[in-house]
Amino acid sequence: MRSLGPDRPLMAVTLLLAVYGILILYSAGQTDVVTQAQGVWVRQLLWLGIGVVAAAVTFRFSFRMLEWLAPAAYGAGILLLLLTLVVGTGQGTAAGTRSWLAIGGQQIGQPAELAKLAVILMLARYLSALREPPRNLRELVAPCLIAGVPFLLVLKQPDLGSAIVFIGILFLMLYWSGVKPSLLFMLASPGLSLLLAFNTWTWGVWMIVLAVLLFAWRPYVVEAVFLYIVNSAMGAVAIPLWQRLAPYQQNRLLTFLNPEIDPRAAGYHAIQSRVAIGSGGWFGNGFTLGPQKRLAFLPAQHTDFIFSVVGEELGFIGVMVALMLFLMLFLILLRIARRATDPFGSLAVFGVLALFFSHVFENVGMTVNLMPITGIPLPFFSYGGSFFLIASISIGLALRAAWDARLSGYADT
Amino acid sequence: MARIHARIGLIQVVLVASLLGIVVRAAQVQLVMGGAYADEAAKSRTELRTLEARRGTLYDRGGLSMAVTQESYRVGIAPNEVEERTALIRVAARQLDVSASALKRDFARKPYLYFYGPFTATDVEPLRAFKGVHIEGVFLRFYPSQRLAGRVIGRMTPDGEAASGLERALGGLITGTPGEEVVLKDRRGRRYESPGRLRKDPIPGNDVVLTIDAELQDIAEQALAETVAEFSAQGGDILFLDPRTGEILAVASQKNGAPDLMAFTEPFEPGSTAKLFTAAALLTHERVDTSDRVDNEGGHWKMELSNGRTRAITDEHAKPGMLTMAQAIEVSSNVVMAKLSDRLTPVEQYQQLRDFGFGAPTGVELPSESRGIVYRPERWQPELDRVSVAMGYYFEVTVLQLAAAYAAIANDGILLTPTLVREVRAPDGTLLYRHQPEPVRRAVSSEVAAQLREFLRGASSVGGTGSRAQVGSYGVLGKTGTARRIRNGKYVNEYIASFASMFPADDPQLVVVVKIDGPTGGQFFGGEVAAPVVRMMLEQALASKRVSFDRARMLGGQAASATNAAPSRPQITRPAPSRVVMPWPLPADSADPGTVAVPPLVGLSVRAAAVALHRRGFEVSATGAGTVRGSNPAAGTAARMGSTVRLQVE
Repeated sequence: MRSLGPDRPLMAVTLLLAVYGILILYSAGQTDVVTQAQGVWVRQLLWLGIGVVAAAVTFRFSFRMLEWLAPAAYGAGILLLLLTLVVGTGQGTAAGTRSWLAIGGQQIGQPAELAKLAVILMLARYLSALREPPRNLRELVAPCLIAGVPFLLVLKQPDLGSAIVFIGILFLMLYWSGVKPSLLFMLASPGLSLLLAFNTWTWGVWMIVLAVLLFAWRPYVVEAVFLYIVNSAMGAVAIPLWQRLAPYQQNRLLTFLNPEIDPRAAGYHAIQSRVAIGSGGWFGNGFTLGPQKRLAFLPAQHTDFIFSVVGEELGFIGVMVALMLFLMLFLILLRIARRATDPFGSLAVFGVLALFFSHVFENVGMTVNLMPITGIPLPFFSYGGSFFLIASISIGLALRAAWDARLSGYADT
Repeated sequence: MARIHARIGLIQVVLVASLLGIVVRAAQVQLVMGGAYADEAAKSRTELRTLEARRGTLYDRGGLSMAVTQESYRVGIAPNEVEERTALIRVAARQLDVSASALKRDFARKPYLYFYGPFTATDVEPLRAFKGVHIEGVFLRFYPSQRLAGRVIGRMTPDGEAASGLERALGGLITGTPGEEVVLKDRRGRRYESPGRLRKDPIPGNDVVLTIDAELQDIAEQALAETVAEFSAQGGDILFLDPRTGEILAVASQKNGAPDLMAFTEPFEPGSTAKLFTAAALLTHERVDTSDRVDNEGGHWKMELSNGRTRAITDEHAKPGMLTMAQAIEVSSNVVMAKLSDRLTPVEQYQQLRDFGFGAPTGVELPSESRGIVYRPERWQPELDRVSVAMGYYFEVTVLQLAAAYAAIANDGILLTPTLVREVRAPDGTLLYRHQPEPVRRAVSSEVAAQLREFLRGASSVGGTGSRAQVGSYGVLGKTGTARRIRNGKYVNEYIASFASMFPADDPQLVVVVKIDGPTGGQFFGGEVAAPVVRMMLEQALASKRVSFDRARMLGGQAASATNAAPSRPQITRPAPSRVVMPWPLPADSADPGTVAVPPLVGLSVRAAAVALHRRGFEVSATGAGTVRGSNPAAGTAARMGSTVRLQVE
């Protein structure tokens, strides 16, 4: 059966997630004390409308057009990020950071979200143009630069959570383009060095393991030596680099390991979120009735910690439903990426999958204390225009890829 | 194609595994530890709040409120909970006496408005109808009679803690038991829902009727203030005691603005008022006959000591001649008392003083009372100190102890525990306790007591030192005292003038002790300074309608008293508030004079046991607080008066 409409499963899952998200956002505003969350669901409805339009418009764009637009979008994203570093403002608990662009005191958006999509498009354009997937480190320099520049600019804001998303997108898209896992491992090794350098012994063992691996995988000698030097250097600068992190970032990473270090400040979010979700039990306290949320114990319950509302009010069942919807979204996107007739489209859709996955895993993982606290939104749930718009455009893009594939008859195989 | 399939397979595995990891973690948090987190959540948002119990009222013996707790209200408004904003602003502005415009501004700006008040129930009643208004009841303590009897009643700290006096001493009797309620609070700890869930009702404290007579107290305080001012004295004390019941009717103390009740806390050497106690010992041991006459050596006697030196003893008021004991008391002859003290052993003198309650706490409700000082006879210097004691020196008594001892003489020789508490009533009005006379011991026999009263009659009659105390035709029995004060271990020319008296002379209803510290301006004798105060006060008291005298008994004498007096006291089973009631009459302690049987103490509180032991004349040593498990020497064994009994406390 050939259907010429947009991909129904993707539409259905997206719609379900959007409805679920709006309902939870409505509940997030139902508190007994004054919070910022009251009434934001109405504004999110407006964004939902805008998002539908944006998705429809994106759907109209051919991939050639998007490929052509990618450098411009990328350039605009970099420019906005630079602008943000100069005139950016903070928001809420992260008032000290520069992640928002404002005009006349009115905050209009977070350029980092736009940059994520721009990076996806740019990487898709670059990787799809290659005849062979990158086979050595030298061939990875260009994609690394594409993701690395916005990564550094966002890190400078500083917004560690979004910065990590760029890394996630880069690695997943490289993998999708056909880069060998061993090469990706080598690419990631400096990062591992950075982490493992906190203990001299672990770092020593790691360096030996790295030497063995390099010997086994046999890259170019120059690259192997270079990699080994970079890893050594990373181990050496790890401690000074840590000391240059902002205290709130240090705290977030430390309290991730043990929230009870600082239960009133840095660990507060983690503990309150865990307590709220835990008190939900199997079936939750009932829609809009979560007492921890009602009494404002739950922090940022309409943005970064909205998933805690799901856990507190709808219980384990609600959590399962949400995660099942997200898993369905991921698998549908994976299927579309696989079936895409166009390499650019396939990479772009997979980039979108990487984007959603890293946001969901990081955000939900954070609310159950599986991941460190980083302020990145949960797609379709968290209140916020910029990301909702980007998510809508991403869905529009995936719909287009699915449509293209169907037109070429791929859907029947 | 194989490679792309492997790739997709790996990615699917990663996606599913990642989300499965989260699901497992969620299951751990929600299903395994969910109960614990639910408890933690409930704990973080609820607060157990104690509900203050209403303090009992203190009344004077006539039912006049002396200390009252009133419920007042404080008002909080949470603007975000308010629904009818304009109406509330209008009503609140009127009821809380604030301007409506300021209220409107605060509504917009502040998260919570608080009005400290205190407001009355009528003030806050119209506000109760509004949502978002939180009315908080607070108990405030008022003293309607202002400073009257302030030193006895005591005061509260601003935090509502009992700071002093009976407010503190009555403790749990009037504080009641606090209740508990559970309230919800938000992240900032602000309680947002009111009223909370009640867990335990607060139980109000009991009401206490004091023995104080407000009118007499007022008379005493004013008389004291006037006298202290008139003689430019340093201070003084006045105490009224009912000798038949031990009830303290009035007690006033004044000294340099110090807040203490010196009549209870500050011992002094009594001087001549104590001659009566030596007389009591002489009579009890039959060492003197009423017709015995002793030469007063013309008022100046050089007492010859065994070491060849002499001690000069002088009479201030006596004419030269041979005096009977009655006359010696009448003119307060030091020489005669000094000579007569030779007929007593120090142990006999000591025991008589202990029998009158000196050197031991009286057991009045205020725990800060002093026990005074009575040295053990072994410590007495031979010849010297027995003479000093006979003249009222070398031991120290409080005004309260002196009054209680005189009351014993008025009460046919039976020493009663003085008390400030007449009745205790539950909040619903049920009588829990009514004071009944609590005999401590027989201090002297009935005959000796009668004889001592006859001595006093002389002392306060026309020829006596206390003649200026006489009131109309009723007659006052009394003994003056003028004691030199000790400064830095030496006697100086500074005096304590005192007068201990009973009224009316026949069948006394009142014991009055007046003590003035350091009167100046040439007059310092008890007869000049203290005795007239007694007369003045008694005249005022008789003129007052409120002061309760048994007037029938005063007018009709013995015949009337047979019908009117001794009103049938209701027999009440009392949950005695930490008092020791000893069996009466006391069992014969021991054949050996100077030794007493240790009373049964097991099961008593340390304080109660200490009171019981003090009454028997023992010293007490105990460590810790709690219930007494035993004593050393054990109960029932005879021990020397003044020796130490060790308490084994659990």
